[in-house]
Amino acid sequence: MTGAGTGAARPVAPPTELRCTTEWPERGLDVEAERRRGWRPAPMRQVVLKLVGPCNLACDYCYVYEGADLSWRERPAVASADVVRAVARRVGEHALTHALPEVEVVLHGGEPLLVGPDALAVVLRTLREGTPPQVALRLGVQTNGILLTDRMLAVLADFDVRVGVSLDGGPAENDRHRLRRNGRGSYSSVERGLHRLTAPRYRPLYAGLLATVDPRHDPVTVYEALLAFEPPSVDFLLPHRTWGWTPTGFPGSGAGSTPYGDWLVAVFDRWFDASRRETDVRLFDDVIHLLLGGAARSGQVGLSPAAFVVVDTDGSLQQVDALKVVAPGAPETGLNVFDHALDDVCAHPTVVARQIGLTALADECRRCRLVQVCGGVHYTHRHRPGRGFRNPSVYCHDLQVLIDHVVRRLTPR
Amino acid sequence: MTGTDGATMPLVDLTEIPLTEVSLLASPVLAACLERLLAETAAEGPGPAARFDSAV
Repeated sequence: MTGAGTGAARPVAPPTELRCTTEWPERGLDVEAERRRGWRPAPMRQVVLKLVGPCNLACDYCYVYEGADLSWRERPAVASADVVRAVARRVGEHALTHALPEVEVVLHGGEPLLVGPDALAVVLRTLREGTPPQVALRLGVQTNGILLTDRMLAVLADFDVRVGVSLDGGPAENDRHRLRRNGRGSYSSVERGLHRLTAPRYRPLYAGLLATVDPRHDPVTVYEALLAFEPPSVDFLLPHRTWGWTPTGFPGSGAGSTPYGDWLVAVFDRWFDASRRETDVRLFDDVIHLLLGGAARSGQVGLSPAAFVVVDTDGSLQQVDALKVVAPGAPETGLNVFDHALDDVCAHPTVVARQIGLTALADECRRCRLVQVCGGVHYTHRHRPGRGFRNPSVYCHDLQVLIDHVVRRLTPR
Repeated sequence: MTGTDGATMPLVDLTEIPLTEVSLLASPVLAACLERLLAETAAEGPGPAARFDSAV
């Protein structure tokens, strides 16, 4: 890792100016030159379908509703049958073109289960029936868990849909951020949904929990609250922030304070020292795997090419939607699922930038001893207004603390 | 160094890790990580890819 830039940044509101197309990579990344150097597009293996725009929660850190890009207001609330059919067609076409043995569609939102069980069944049938038989289609849904009723779970089971649930810890931690529109916490409703999901009948659908880190919470308390639901996997996300909208408690570069790194270290030790493997923690698994010479499965660390695309409710094809915190319009590619193949997305500079490994990183990152592990960290977190995405992450020092700690734990002296 | 396929050169040499039957039994997390590494090394098919942030 590197020094994470210059000048002390202070938390500010999300940017309001339109996406600046004069920034790298849209200005400055020569896709044809990358091809001449040997880069080839990595095919998309995962399509994230924004089935529903609105949400039944109002989480205060939500990048869709509290970020800079509020385009959900202008789009359809629910993806139409035409959008779903087009997604199935594009997924099948892409898989056959690239001889992919398996592709995955993840339903996302907003809250995708707001569509209701009957409409959900129609969507899932359309996706299954629209995909060529020789292509294995994996289906998943990322939900806040509130609408995991028996009827909904029966539909998800009928179509073999894996379910990931967002939860930030126990009642105190979760309800600090994950609020209902009336300001009340969501924990008790999510807990009921999780109890239904983890019952023997539906347990095979249970993929895991997704938690956003708040360094003010006790890390081990949060982790153990998640473990109480016996998740097959846990993934910890750092809040989506940038150099233009810095994280809560951000101390400014070089101040030596790494609240997110320290938090992750405490959870790592609790996870690593357990007498049995209680769950997978994707971030930690990836860091260890990268240290040993493997490759990452997530976009949080490592240099694996990004192989997913987001389809919004109106059929627009977008980059990773966390870019909504960067600027209005930041995730857009200008392409849509009706008129454009997924291969068209693969050639878009903003997508290429997440597929070219080290070439996409800032000079100081490329010189860093840990670059092969951190990989510049999450693409969104590198953004600095006026300079684009070729910067160290706003969480650079925090990830450095975590990675160095993992090295020490692997090689005790 | 890293190309564009996500594969890396190890920063931690496996020989630096005290890997004995006893240490692996004592660290089931590490044992599972090594199992994944071996499985991926042996696997055929498309290379690694970064996935969307979800628990799915």
